[in-house]
Amino acid sequence: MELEFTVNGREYVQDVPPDTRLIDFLREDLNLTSVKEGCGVGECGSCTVLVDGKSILSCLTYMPEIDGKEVLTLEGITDGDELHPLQQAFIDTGGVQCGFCTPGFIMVALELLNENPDPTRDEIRKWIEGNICRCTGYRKIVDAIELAARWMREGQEAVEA
Amino acid sequence: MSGEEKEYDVVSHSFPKVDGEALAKGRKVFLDDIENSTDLVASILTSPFAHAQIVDLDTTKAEKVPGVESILHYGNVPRVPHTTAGQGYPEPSPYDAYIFDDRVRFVGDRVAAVAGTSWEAVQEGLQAIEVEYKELDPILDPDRSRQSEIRIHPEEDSTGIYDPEKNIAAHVDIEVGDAGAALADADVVVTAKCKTQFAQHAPIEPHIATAHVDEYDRLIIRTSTQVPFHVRRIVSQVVGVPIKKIRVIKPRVGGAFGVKQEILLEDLVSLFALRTGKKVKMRLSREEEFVSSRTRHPMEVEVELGASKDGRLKGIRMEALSNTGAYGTHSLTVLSNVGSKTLPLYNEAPDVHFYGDAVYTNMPVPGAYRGYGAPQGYYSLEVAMDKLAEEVGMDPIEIRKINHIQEEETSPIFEKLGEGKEGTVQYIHSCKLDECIDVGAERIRWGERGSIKEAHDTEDKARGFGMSINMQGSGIPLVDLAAARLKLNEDGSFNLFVGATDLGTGSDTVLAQIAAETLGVDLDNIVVYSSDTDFTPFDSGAYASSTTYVSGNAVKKVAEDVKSQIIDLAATQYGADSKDLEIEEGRIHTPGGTIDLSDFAILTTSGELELDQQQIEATASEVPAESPPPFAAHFVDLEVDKRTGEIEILKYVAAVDCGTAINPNLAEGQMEGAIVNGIGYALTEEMEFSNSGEMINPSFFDYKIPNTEDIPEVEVILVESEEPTGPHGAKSVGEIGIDGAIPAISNAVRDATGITITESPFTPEKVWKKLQEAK
Amino acid sequence: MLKNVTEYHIPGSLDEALSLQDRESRSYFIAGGTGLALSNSNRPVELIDLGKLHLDELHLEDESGKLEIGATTKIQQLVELDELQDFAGGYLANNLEKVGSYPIRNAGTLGGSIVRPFPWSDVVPILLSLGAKIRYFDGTHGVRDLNNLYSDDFRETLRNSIVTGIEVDLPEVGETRGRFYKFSRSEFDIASLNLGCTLTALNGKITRARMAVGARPSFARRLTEVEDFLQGQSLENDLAEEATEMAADTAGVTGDRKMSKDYRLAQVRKMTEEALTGVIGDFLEQ
Repeated sequence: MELEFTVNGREYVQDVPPDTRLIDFLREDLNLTSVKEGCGVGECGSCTVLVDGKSILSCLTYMPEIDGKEVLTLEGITDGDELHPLQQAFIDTGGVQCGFCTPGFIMVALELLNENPDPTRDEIRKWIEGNICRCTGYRKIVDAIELAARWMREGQEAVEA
Repeated sequence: MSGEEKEYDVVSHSFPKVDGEALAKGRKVFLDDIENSTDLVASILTSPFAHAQIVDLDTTKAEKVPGVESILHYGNVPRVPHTTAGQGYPEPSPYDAYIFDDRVRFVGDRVAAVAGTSWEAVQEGLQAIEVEYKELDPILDPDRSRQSEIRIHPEEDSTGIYDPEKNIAAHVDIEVGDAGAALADADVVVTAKCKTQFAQHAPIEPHIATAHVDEYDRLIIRTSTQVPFHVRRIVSQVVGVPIKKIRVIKPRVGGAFGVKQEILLEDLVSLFALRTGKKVKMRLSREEEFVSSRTRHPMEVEVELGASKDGRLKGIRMEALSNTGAYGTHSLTVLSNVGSKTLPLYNEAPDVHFYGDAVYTNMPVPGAYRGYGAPQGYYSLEVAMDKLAEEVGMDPIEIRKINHIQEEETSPIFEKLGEGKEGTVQYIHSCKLDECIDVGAERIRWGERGSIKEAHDTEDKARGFGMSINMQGSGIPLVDLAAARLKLNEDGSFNLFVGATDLGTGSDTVLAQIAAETLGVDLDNIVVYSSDTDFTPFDSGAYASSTTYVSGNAVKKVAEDVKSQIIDLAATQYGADSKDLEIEEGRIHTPGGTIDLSDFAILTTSGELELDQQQIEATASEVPAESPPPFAAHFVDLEVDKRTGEIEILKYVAAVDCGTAINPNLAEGQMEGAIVNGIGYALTEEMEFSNSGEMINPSFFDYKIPNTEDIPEVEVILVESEEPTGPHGAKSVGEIGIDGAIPAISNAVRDATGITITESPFTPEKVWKKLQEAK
Repeated sequence: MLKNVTEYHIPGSLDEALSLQDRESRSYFIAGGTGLALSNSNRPVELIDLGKLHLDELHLEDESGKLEIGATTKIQQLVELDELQDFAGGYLANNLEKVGSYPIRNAGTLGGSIVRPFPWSDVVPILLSLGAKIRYFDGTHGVRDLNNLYSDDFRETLRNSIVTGIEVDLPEVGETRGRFYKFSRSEFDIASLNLGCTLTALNGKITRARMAVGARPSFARRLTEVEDFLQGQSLENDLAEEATEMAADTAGVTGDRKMSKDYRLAQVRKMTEEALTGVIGDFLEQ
C-alpha cells in the first residue's frame, strides 16, 4: 500500500507491504541500522524510535501505522557529524558499554528530555524501564541522561543569554 | 607487597572508550549492520524432543522450496567428534559433539540447517524437512542420570567422557590433608546445601556469524565471538579446511558474558559458504538464544565447615553435583572452578576436600557464564559461613576476617586444582579484602544494623542485612597465551594489534591505555585493531577474567620493547647513551635536547635517518605464571514482606580490589553490570521447563531480567591495590562482580526472617512458603 | 510477527469497517497494533485499521461522574490526560501506569486491551473495579457490562462487532476512591495476580463498591458477593477482615506455574485487606 511519511526529515512516498514491520523497513530498506532488534516482542527497547516525537517500539509497529507521521532514528538526531549531548554524555559516563542497546536508550531519553528538561534520577529510571541493558547495571546510563540534561539546559541558557 | 601510590599519566584515568563514539552514533559496527544484506541467510531446525533417535530425514521437499540453496544434516556433513567449547588446545572438555548427529539430546538440539535467499524461504525449507524420530526416554535430573541405564552418549567415537556408562561427563576429587578427620575433631560443624537454576546470559545481541569464500579461496568468517582463534581452530577441525585457509574477524560484540565462548554457528556458515560459494549469514532469534545456545550449569553444592569455638576454620568439605545438560562443554572446568575459585579464599582451613560430578541430562547445554562455577560455589560456602558465625557467636564480618587469605599467603588448593587438572603454586601478592569489607560495611551501615532493624521492623515487614566475600582469578596460569604487536607510524602514532577480544567490556581501551602509559604517549596516539586472525597475533580469547591481566601484560611487554627500540635508535642518532633517554608525553628527552616523537618517527622511515631506516615494531607473548585473584565484598540491605515473601533490595554496595583500575569508570561498569546480572540470578531469572524438558519461557516476556525499576542503584567502590605481577599493578575484574549477590541476599533474608533460602531464584512464593513452614 | 497480510483497509465509518470483516475470521481490527504484533500469527490476511474513525475521544461530565473513552485512545494518553487526574481520586490514570512500559503504553489502546482475551490484563480489572461498561457497534450501537466480557455469548457478539469505547458511571453523589494492586515477578512483567477495588462513599456510608480480581490465573472477574456485602455498610476498618475471607472464597483462584493456589489465595487476602483498609483510611482521614 502507498504510504507517505518522513524519516529523519526526509519525505517518502512509498509502496510498502502492510505486514512490514517498521524496524525491518528502517534497517533493510533505508539501511538505518542503529535500530536494533534484541527480542522482537517489545521487551528490550533496543528498537525504540520516535514517531511524532513519542517513543515507540519499531518491532511492534507495522508500516501502515506511520502513514502521515514523522519517524526519527538515532541517525537523524543531529545534523551532520557532531555529537548530540546525549551521545557525548553516554560516551563520557560509560553509559555505552557494548553499545548494542545504546541507540534505544538514547531515543527514549531524547523524548524524556524534550518533555522534561530537568528530570530527577527517579524520573529517569522510571522513564527508561522498558529498555534492557545487560552490561552496565544502568547506573551509568542514568548518569548519562542526567549529564546530558544538564548540558542541554546550560546550552539553552547560553542561547537565551 | 602493595607498593607505594604510583602516579600514572594514562592508566588509572577514566578515558572514554576508544569505540565509544562509533557506538553512540549507532555506526555500522555490529555484524548484522555491516552485513545487512548477504547472498544467503540460514537457520537451524531443532529437535522437538528431549531425547530421540533420528530414524529418517528426508529433504526432498525442502530442496524444492524456491530460494532454498543448501541443506545440511547428519547425512551430508563430516562426523567429527569435537567440543563446542572455545577453550585452549587441547581442550579439557570431552569431544562429544558433532556438527549433526542422528541422535538428538535436548529440546533445541541441532537436526538440520537450511540456507536460502530469504528468511522466508529458509523457514519454509526448514518446515519442509521430514524427520522421523524414535523417541527415547529423556533424563532430566542429574542424580537420576547417574543411576540410569539410559545412556545419553552411547556413541563409540566420543572421547574424554569421564564415565559414559553412568552419564558422568566429568569428575573431580581433590583432598588436602584429611578433611573428614578435621570435621570430626572440630568444635563446631555447620552445613549448607544450596541449589541453583538454569539461567541464561541474554546478551542483547544474539549470536550472529557470516562466512564467504574470497577471491583467493580463503574462508572468511565474521562472528560475534569471544574466541576468534579457537573459532578458527575448531572450524578447521570439524569442517576440514586447513587453518591457513581460514580468517576469522570479530566485529563489535553486543555483549557475551561467556555464551559467545562457544562455536555455535561458525561451522554451519562455513559449510554453507564452501558448498554454495556465496556469503551466508546466520543469526539466532531470542528464542533460539534461550533454547539452543548455552546456559549456566545448575548445581547442587553441599558445604560442611568445621571450626574451633573461636571461629577458626579447621576443615571444609565441598561436594558439587553439576548438571551439564546434553553436552559436556566446559563441564570439567566449571566444576573445578566451583572449588578452585572459592576454597583458597578461606585458607585458614588446613584440611579441605572437594569432589563432585558433572552429569549429562537431556536438558539445554550449560557452558561458560561469567563467574564460571564460582557463583554456585559461593552460594553454599557463604551461607555456611553465616551459619558458622551464628553458631560461634561472631559477627559475619569478623569470622570472615580471621579466616580469609592475606597478602603473601597461599593455599594448597591453588596447586591441587586448576582448570580441570592440577593447578600451580601461587602466593597472593595483593589483597585489600579487609579494606573492601570495612568500606562496604561503613556504606551499608553494618554497625548500625541492629537499631535500623529495630526502627523499621513491623508485623509484616522485616529488614535484613547480609554480606559475602569472594575472590576470582585473572586468567588461566600456564594455559592462556596472549600476544600483542605494536608498530610505530611516521606521525608518532602506534598501531596496536591484539588478538584479545573486546566484548563491549572496553578491553580495547584498557589495552590502549596500558600501551600509552608504557610508551609515554597520549592515548589518542594508540590505534587499536583487535581480533582478526590474519592480522593480529594469537590470544586465547576473552574469558576467565584474562584480558586486563594476561593480554595487558603482553601489551605492556611489547610496548616496553618498542619503547627501547625507539630509545636505542634515537640514542644512536643523537650520539647519546640509551640510558639517558626517556619518552614522556610524546617527547623524547635526550641529554642534548628534546624532540617530538612525531618528528623522530618520520625519520625512521625516511632517508634522513643517519642509520638504516626501519619499521620499528615488535610482538610479545605472555603466558601467565599465576592468576592473581581480585577480591570483593558485597553488602545488601533489604526488606522482606512477610505476607508476600517479596524481597525489596533497599541498598546494595560492593567494594572490589582489582589492583590498579586501568580505567576506573570501565572497572566500575564491569562490577555494576555483573552485580545487576547477579541480582537477576538471585531473584527472578530462571529458565523453566515442561515435564518433557522443553523450555517454556524462552523470551524476555517471560524470562525476567532486572530493569531500572526492579533494583536500586548499586554502589561500587574500587579499593585499589598494586599487583606486582600485573600490568601497571592491575588485576582483572570481568567476572568477580557476579559472585556475591546470591549469598549476600540469602544471608540478608536470613538476618531479616531467620529462614535460609537454599534454592535460587528467591521467588516470593519460595520465601513465603519457608516463612509459613517456620511459623 | 505478521506474515501473510495482503490487504490493509482504512475504513472511514463504522459501517464500512464492519462490512470489511470477512466471515472466516481472517480479518482483524487493529488500532495500536501491539497486541497483534505480539501474537506472532499467520492467520491475519486482512487488517482493518480503526485509526481514522475518531474513536479516540474522551467525554467526562464532572457533574454526573460519567466518563466515556474511545477505544483507540492510547493507554499512555489516559495516564497523562489532565481530565483524568482527579477522576475517582486519580484511580484510572495512576493505575494504568502499571501497564507495560512507556513505549508499550504509547502504542497500546484501550480497545485493544479489552478485546484481546489476555487473562493477565491489568486494564480489564482496573476498568471492572470502576464498574465500566463496553460500548460496541454491531450495526447498531450497544452497551454491555464489562463483567460480561469473557462470557461466551458476549465473545460471540464481539466477533461480529467493533468495540468503540468504554463508559464509567460513577454515582452522581459521593466520592469515589480506589486501590489497585498488581503482583508480578518484575516491574515490567505481566501480572501473576491483580486486584482492584473502588468504593463510593457518602456521609460515612459505602454507597457503591466494585471489586475485581484478574490473573486468577484465568480471566478477570468481579467479586459481586463482596461488593454486595460492602454496599450500605458504614466506613469502618473492621469491614476489611470479613470482606477478605469473602474475597478469598469467591475469587475462584487456582494454581499455575507462576503461583500455587495457596499462595495466590494468600495474596488475594492481602490485596483485599490492603485495598479496603487503604480506601477506608482515605475516607476516614478526610
